[in-house]
Amino acid sequence: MTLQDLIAASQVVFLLYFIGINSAYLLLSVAAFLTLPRQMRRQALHHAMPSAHTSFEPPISLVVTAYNEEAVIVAAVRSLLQLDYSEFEILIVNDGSKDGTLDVLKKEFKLVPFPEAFRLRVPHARVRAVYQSTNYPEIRVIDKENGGGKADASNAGINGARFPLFCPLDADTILQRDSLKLMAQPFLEDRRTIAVGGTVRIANGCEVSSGVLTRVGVPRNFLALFQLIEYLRSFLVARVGFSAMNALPLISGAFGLFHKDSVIAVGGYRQDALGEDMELVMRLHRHFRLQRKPYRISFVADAMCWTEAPESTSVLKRQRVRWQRGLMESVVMNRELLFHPRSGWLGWFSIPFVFFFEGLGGLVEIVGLLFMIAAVALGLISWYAFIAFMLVAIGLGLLLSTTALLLEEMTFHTYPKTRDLLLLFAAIVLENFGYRQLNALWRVIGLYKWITNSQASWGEMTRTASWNKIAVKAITPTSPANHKAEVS
Amino acid sequence: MFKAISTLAKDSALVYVTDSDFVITVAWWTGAASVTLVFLLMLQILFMRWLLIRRVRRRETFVAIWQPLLMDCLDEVSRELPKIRRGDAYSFLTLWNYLHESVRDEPKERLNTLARACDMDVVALSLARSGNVREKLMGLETLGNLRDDTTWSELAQMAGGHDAALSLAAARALMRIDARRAIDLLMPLIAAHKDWSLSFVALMLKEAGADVVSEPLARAALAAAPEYAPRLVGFLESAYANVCIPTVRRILRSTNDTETIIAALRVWNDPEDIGTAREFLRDDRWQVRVQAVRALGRTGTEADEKLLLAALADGEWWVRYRAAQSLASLPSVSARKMERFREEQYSQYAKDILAQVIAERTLAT
Repeated sequence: MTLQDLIAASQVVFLLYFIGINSAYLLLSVAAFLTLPRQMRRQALHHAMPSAHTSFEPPISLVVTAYNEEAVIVAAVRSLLQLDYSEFEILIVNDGSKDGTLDVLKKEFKLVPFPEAFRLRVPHARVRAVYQSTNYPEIRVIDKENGGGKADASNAGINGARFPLFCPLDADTILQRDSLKLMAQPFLEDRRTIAVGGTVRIANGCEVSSGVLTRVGVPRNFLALFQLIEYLRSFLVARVGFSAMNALPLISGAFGLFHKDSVIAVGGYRQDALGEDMELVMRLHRHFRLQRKPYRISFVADAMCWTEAPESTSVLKRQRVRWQRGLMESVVMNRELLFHPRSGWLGWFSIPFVFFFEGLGGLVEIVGLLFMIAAVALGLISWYAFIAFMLVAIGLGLLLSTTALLLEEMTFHTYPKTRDLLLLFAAIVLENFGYRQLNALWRVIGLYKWITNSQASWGEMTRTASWNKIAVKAITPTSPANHKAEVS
Repeated sequence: MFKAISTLAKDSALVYVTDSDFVITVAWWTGAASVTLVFLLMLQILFMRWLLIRRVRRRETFVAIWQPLLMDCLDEVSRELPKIRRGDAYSFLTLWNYLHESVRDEPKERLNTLARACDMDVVALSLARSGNVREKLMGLETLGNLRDDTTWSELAQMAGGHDAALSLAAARALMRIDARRAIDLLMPLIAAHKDWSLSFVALMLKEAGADVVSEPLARAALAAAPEYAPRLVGFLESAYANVCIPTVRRILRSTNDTETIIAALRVWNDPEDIGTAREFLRDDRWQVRVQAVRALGRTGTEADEKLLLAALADGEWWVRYRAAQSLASLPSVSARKMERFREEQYSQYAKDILAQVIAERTLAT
C-alpha cells in the first residue's frame, strides 16, 4: 500500500464516520422527539390520578453499595427512606470498608446482627454478617469482605434482596421522591419488562438538605457544566431513542431497576468487568434475544436521580478512561450480538453505534483533527476548506446539544432560572473548543489501555458533596480498587 | 521531506475529493445551516421559557384571586363571581378538581354549582374533545367530578379509544358519573386493556365500592379467556368476600393456568375449602407453592402445622420463607413453639429459615 492509498483510505474512513455518526444521531433525535411526548402523556396521567398505593405495585429492593462512604452513607439512606413508594427495602452492602461506614450505620439505624438465611445465587466475596435495623424494619446491612469492585458488592445485594425487583444505587445518589413509582410503571404495563433505566442528572450546583433535593441549579464549574450538557445529550436523546427501538445498550449503574430473576438467570454482574453496568445490560439482551425470549428493556426519562460529577480534570480523566475500557470490554464480551440475524436494532444499530462511534470515535476524531491540521499546514487543503470542515463538525455537534436542551425545555424545564439557560447555551458552544477534544483524547487513552490490557487503576477519588448540606466532608478512599472512583 | 510529502499528497486522488469544490460547498452550507438552526433553536428555547414564566405568573395571580372564592363557596355559592377567561380555565379546573377531591357531600355539590355557573362544564367538555393531552385529561377529570350524564355516550366512546391514558381517564369519569351503569360497559375493557395501569384500575374499582363491582367482576373473571383471567382475578380483592370466595373456588377447580392459579391463591381466603390450598402445596410449580403456603398462613389451623413444617425443606427459598412466616402466623403457634420447631428440624434449610423468621418476629415486637 502506498502513502497515496493510505491517505485516500483514511479520507474515506473520516467521511464515512462523519456521515454515519451524524445520521445515527439524527435517527436517535427523531426517535426521541417521537417517544418523549408519549412518556410525558403517562406522566400527565400520574398527575391527573390520585396517588394512593395499591397492592399491584411490585415491591422493590434498593441495593446501596458502599465502600468507605462514612461521610455520605447516613444522608443517602435517610434520603431513600423518604421515597414515595408502596413497599421497598433498603439493603446496604458494606464492601469491606476501611473507614467507619459500618459503625455509623450501626449507630444511626440501631443495627443488630440478624440470622439471615442467605442464598448464594450469584457469586461474590464472603459475607461476614447481616444486620437488621431495629428502628427501621426496611433497612438491612450486608457486611462482606471486599470483592474488588461494585459488581461483587451488587451481587451480594442481589442475593440478599427479598423483592422481585432490585435497584442498584451508589451511596451519593439522590433519587427524586416519585422516581420509583415511575420506574416501576413499565413492569406493570408490560410483563415482558426485565430492566428499566432512569435519567441521571448532575447534582453540582443544586442544594440537598437532609437527603432531599431542595433547589435545582446548574454548576458554576465549567467542567461540571460541560458534563451536564453531555448527560442531557446522552439521556434525553440517545437513551430515549435507543429505548424506542428496544435496543438500549446501557442502564447507568447509578440508577436502574432490574427484574431480579432475569439478572440471576444470566449470572448476575461480572466481577471481572470494568463497566459492569453496561456489560450486564448487553448480556441480558444477548440472553433473551438469542434464545428468542420476549423481553423489554426500557428507559423512563421522567424518573430522575441526581449525582455528583467530577470537577477536576484528573478525576474526570480517570472516569472517562475507565468508561472507555468498560465500553470496549462490554462490546467484546457480547460480540455475538454484533450483526447477528436475531439481534434486531440492537445488533444492527445500537452495538455498532457504541462500538464504532463511542468506542473508536475518539480515535477517529483525534486522528481526523490532526490530519486536517497537517493537511492545512502542508498546503494540501485550503484554509477555506479547513474552516468549512470545522464549521460542519462543530455546527452539527452544537445542533445535537441544542436539540437535547430543547427536549429538556419542552418536557421537564428542570433548570428554573433563565440565567441557568444562558449558562447552558454558553456551555454548549464552549465545550467544542477544548473539552470535546480532551474527551476524545481520554477515550483514545482508554482504548489504548484496553488493547494493552494494562492494570485497572481507579486511583483516588475526591467527593466534595458541596451540594449536600448534611454530608459536606470530602473523603478520599485509600484502596486502589475501590467501588467507584467517580460518577458511573 | 516536508515538500516531498506535500507533493505526494497533492498527487493523491482523494486530496482532490477533500479539497473538491463540491465537498467543500456541501460542508460549508451544512455547517452554516447547522449554526443558523442552532441559533434559531436557542431563540425558540428562550421564547418557550418566556411563555412559561408568563404562564406561571398569570396562574399565580389567578390562584390568589380564586382560591379564597372557592373556599367561600364550600359554605355558600356567591352570586357575583368574576368571569373566567378561556386562558385561565385550566388553572381554575386544576384548583377546582383539587378541592373536589378533598371534600364530601354538600360542599362537592356547591363546587359543581359554581363550576356550572362559570360555564366550566362546557369548557371541560371542549377540553376533553380537543385540547392537548394534559387538557384532555383535565377535561375528563372535571366531567367525572361534575357527574353530568349528558356526556355519557361521548365518554363511553373515549373509554374505548386506543390511547391508554385518555381511555382510562374516560373510564374513571364514567365510573364517577354512574358506577353501576359503567361497570358492565367497562369490565370487558378492563380485561382487554393490558396497557391500563393495574394500580389505577384497582383504585377505580375500590372507589366504586364492593357493592357495585363484586358481581360483574366475578362474572367477568369466570368467563374470561386464560390470557385475561389473571388480570381480572387479581381485582377480586376489591369484591365482597361472599362473592369472591365462591368465584375463586370455581376458578381454582377449573384452570391449570399458572398465572390464573397464582392470582386466585393470592386473593384466596376460604377456611371452609382449605383442602384446595393444601392440594396446591404439592404442585410442581414453586410459584404456586409459595401462594399455597401463604394462603394457609391466612386461614390455616393447627392441622396445617405439619404441612407447613414439611414445606420448610422445599428446594425454593421463597417457599421455605413464606412457609416459616405462615407457620408463625398460625393462631396455634407461639414464639416458644417456633423455637421448639427450629430445634426439632433436621434440615439445615429449615433451621436457617426458622431462625430468620423468629428473629424478624422478635424485632417486630
